[in-house]
Amino acid sequence: MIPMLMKMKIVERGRKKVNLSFPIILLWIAVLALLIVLLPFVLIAALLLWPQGYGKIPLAVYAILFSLIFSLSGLHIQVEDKKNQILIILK
Amino acid sequence: MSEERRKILEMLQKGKISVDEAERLLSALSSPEVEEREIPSEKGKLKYLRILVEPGPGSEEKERVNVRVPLKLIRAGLKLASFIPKHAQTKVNEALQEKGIDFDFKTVTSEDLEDLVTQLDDLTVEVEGKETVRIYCE
Repeated sequence: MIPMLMKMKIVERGRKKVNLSFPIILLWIAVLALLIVLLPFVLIAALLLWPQGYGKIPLAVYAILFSLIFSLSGLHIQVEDKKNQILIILK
Repeated sequence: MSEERRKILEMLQKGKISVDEAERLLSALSSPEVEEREIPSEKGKLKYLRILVEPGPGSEEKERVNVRVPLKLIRAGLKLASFIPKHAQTKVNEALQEKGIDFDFKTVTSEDLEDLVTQLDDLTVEVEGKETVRIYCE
């Protein structure tokens, strides 16, 4: 499942610097558009590299980028000390 | 035949482990302690790798780390890492050897990486000192 929402909280020296709930789906729309634009270049790179035996690499990396985006859901990072706190949640 | 036994026998057949090592692994598998642990195992259902660092008992430090990484993300990252060019892998090997880790990055196949992530299900690390560190899958 692709992450839809990103929560980010940054507290520095006891004061809230950032407290954001961002609908990250908007970012994915932009990323998807970018990936579609990049697709012809990836295909050209694959065709050019095919004789050297590296043609599969651009295609595989392209596919793994999608896989990375779809795997981000559930990521939770929280680091804090006495005064500072960073919290990032993707869900 | 269980999957673990089959894997051990395959490793023996390929010459990755010696007969003695295979015997030890097989006997460890058949020990009651392991069998007991396998019954409630939720292998395959576990989705996240959790890393917790908390102040130990009596510690005045307030530093905490709580990271939950999806296992799918680790898999995807490892797949991406398998496309690291060979000259860069040599540099990684050199850097590891400088730190005293004799590990050849080039010999790691995508199957090995998949096995590695699958076996993370059973991983539990607990270290107690000034800080308590816990690493486990959930």
